[in-house]
This record gives sequence, C-alpha cells and structure tokens, in this order.
Amino acid sequence: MTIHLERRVEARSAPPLLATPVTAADAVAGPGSPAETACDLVIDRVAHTYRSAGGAPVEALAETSLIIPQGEFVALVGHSGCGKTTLLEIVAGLRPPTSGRVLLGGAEVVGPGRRRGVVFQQSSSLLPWRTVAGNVALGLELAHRSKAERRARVARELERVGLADFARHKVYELSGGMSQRAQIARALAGDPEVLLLDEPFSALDAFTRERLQEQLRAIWRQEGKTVLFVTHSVEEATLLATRVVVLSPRPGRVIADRQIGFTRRDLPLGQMRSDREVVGFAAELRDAIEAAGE
Amino acid sequence: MRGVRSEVVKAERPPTADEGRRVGWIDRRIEAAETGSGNRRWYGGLIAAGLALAVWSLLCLSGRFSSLLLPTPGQVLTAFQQSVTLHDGQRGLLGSYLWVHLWASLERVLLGLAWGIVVGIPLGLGLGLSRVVDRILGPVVEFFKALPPLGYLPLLILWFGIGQSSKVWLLSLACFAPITVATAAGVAGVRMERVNAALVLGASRFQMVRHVVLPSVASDIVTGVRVAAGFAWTTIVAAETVNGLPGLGGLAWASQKELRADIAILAIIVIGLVAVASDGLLRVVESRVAPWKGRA
Repeated sequence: MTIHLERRVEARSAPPLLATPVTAADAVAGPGSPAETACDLVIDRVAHTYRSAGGAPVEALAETSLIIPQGEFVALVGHSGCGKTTLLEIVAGLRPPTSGRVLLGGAEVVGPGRRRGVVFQQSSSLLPWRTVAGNVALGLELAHRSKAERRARVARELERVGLADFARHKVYELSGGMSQRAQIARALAGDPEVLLLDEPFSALDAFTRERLQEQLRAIWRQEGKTVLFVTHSVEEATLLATRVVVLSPRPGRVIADRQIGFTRRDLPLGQMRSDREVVGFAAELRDAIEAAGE
Repeated sequence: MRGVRSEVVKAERPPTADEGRRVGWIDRRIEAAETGSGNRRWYGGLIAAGLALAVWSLLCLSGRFSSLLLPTPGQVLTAFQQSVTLHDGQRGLLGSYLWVHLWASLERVLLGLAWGIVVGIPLGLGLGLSRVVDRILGPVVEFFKALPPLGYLPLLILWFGIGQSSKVWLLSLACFAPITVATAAGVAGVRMERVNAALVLGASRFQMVRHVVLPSVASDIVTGVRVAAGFAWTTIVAAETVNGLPGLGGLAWASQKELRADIAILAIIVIGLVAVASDGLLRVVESRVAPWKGRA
C-alpha cells in the first residue's frame, strides 16, 4: 500500500566494524596496483542477503571487494541472478549492503548522489510526463542550476547521443535505442564522476546495440569517467571494458578479474568483433563462466 | 505407406473446418486499442433507452398497475413540461423550475467533491508516503469508506442543522474516502525505477513528491474523483431528504407525500443523466492527464 521514500534516502548509521578492516590504502599498497587517486571507487567487503517475507533469506552477493581506479571501464559479467545488479545498486546507493561499504574518493556511500550517474535497464525510468529534453534537464533542475546552464548542457548531451532532433518529443514515443540514449544523456548531464550502467543495451536489437556500444565507447574515451557496466554479454564486456570482473552464480563472488583494454585500440568496434585476439579472450571468459556455473 | 498416412490426416481434418479460433471480446479490445476509442458505441445508450421505454410502456398498457403507482411515459413527459413552465400559477414543480432543482443539487455535489478533493488528496499522499500515517489513519479511512452515508446523516443534521452545511458535510464525507484510497493506491503504484532515477539525480524528499509522485498519481486522483462523483450523485437523495428543496433529490423525496410517482421518475432520470454526463467528462480528463498509460 505504501512506498517509503524516507528509508531510501536517509543516511545509514555508523559503518559496520569488521575484524580486519581493509582500507583502500591497504588494498592498493600491493605491488603493481595503480596508485590511489582521490576519486577511486572502492568496494570494501560488500555482501548482500535478501530477506524475503516468511521465506528463507537469499544470499545474493557474497563478500566482494574491488578497487576501481578513476577512469577505468569495468564490466561486471555473470549469469542472471549472480548479484551483479545488486552490486551496482549498492554502488549507486539505492540499496544499503548487508555488510561492507562502498567508498568514492574516500567518502563512504550512504545513499544515492549526483557523483554517481545511473543508466537503468528499463527505459521506463524516464519520466513520461516530461519531454526528452525535460528528462535530461531533470538532474540540473533538482540541483537548482540556472536556466541558461540547463539549456546549454541539455543541448550538448542530446547532441552527443544523437537525439538533438528529438528534444521536444515525448519519451513514450521513442524507440528502445533512443530511450537508452536519452538515459545516457540524462546521466551525463549532471557530470558525474562515475557512470553506472545496468544492462543498458540488453533489450535492444543487435544493430541498435552495436551503434550504442560504439557511442558509449566514444563518450568514455572523451570524458574518461569511471564506468561500472553490468552485462551478461561476454562479447560486450570484452569490447568495451578495460577490465572484466566475472561473478559466480548466486551467491555472487569474484571468480575472475582481468585487465584487458581492447577498447583503447583505435579500431572501430565492427572490426574488433572479428579480431582474433578479442574473440579468443571472449571465448576464454565464457569458458570460465561456464565452468563456474556447473 | 505415404498414401495411407495422408488419408489418415484427411480424415482427421476435413478441409471445410477453419484453422484457429477468434474470441469476440478480445477482438473488440484490439480494435479499441488501435482506434483509441472505447468499445461502446454512442448509439448503444439510445438503444438501451428505447428498450427500457418499450418495456415500461408495455407494463403500463397491460393495465395491471395503477397509473398512480406506475405512471406512463406520457405522464412523466407532462411532469417534465410542468417542471420547466409556469402552470396554474405555479413555477415548475414543488415551487421551483427544474433547472433550479438541478443547480441546487449540482452546487451541493460540487461543494462536496471540492471538500473531498481538498481533504482526500493530501490524506492519500500522507497514507501513501508515510508508514506512520498509514498505520494510524488507514483504518479510519477504510471505516468511512464502508459506512453508508444515510447512517450518519442524522448526526450531521443534529450537529450542523438542516441547512446547506449538513448536506455538504454528508457529500464531502461520502467523497473523500474514494479519493484518498485512489491517491494512496497511486502512490503505492509509482514505478520504482522512476523513483530510483530521481534519487540518483539527487532528488530531495520534497522534490521526489513534486517531480515524480504527483505527476505519477495525477491520473489515479482523477479516477478517484470520478468514483467520488458517482458516490456524490448516489448520495444526493439521502442528503436532500430533510429540507432538500430545491434539489433533485428533494424533488424525488417530496413526491411521495404528494403521491406523484411521475415526479420521482422524472427526478431519477435527470439525476441519472447528469451523473452519466459528469462521469463521461471525468473520463475524458482521465485519458488526457496520462496519455502514456499503457504505452510506457
């Protein structure tokens, strides 16, 4: 009967004290680790268990730690139900973890905030009573930015995702691909430090998906934002990410964490798709996931 | 072998039979969705009215009922003529012309609805947004929703007298509950992905209500107002039983003293027509307020 907004936005109480706290500094101190910068995203022993009413609690995500340096494009891959969306929601601050914590630039994440932009899987997250431009402007409006600034920013983001001609359209008139581009523009308009994407292209047809992948890669190269990208497509992860993290089936646990970086190459994605090295890497990853599923 | 097999198939499916099956009412829904129109035609109401009139006339012609108790359509038409004319030194029926009765009732219904909206929407938002308000006031609203308005009318007359205010109170009490319940249900039905989208863009509680909750529940509120308007029209006779003239309900109620069944039927027909018209109007508002319903 009721939804309770206050529970989602309120700050959580003191972080759980764990027996052996691993701070960001400790974790990155190992040899070969990238140096910590102010805006690293640190996932510190985060775990999540869903409490279903009456039923047994479901452990969705086992204790998981990741350090994501600024500017990295991390793809989270795994079977459906492996907790990858749960982890993304925890990073977004939409879901408090059962244990552990998330740090962004040293500050603990206690709820959703403008520094983390989110692109949701469902295009129904766009507000249908606003136009495309109105949706992209929402974050700036909520932040009380001036009208001139809003207009300039919205025009820029719509231009970038190729929706400039659709600014005044109703969002429920858009195709699936356009909706997701509008979502990307909305997330970028607030200039977040981290972009979180939850299977943004999974509902699109193959051609549209490929075009949007290309666009996302271009945006990432341009902006150098940290990206956490949830997908169940190994190929997509391989093409776009600089690092692929594979989660096991429920409860999700990191079973592989590989640096790649094909996306840094200057080849168009179309050519990369048939590149032997890329295909080989994707096959390897797929095998790892299959092995974990058994 | 092959020949035998094809014979068997032939025997099972005679070539005259159709393949597949259509379901009439689903076809009509598909058509309605495509053309954007409801699946009821405008002339449906006329046909129904014609049928009712025919049955009514037949009953009168059968001669089994006294015309005092079951007036003929002609008598009701005469009553209608009297209601809009000056006759025998009388203005209309029971002291007022029909439009005066109509306006008196419409004014009460609108006032009742207005108060129902003023109280119902904030209360519904409160129930939907706050667990505490829901726990405490939820059962009260449910209780009011279940009460028959005629039951608390005596109390209202004792407290507020026999003038306008007790009538408006009655209609307001009948109206606020459906609006409250529809608003609260609308809040509960706000799409979580839209709430989340606004949260990650930094919406405060107030901004969430202003930019996500209110636009989401607008159509639910109109639905609630539509139900409430229906309630108001069904309650109007009860509201106007005491000192209800002028008023359509008062007209219907007073006709029993004068043994004028024709007036009662006239009043009922007018109330029914006005109620259907106001429902149609709100239906249009409902579809205008959320054109994305069923599309996004």
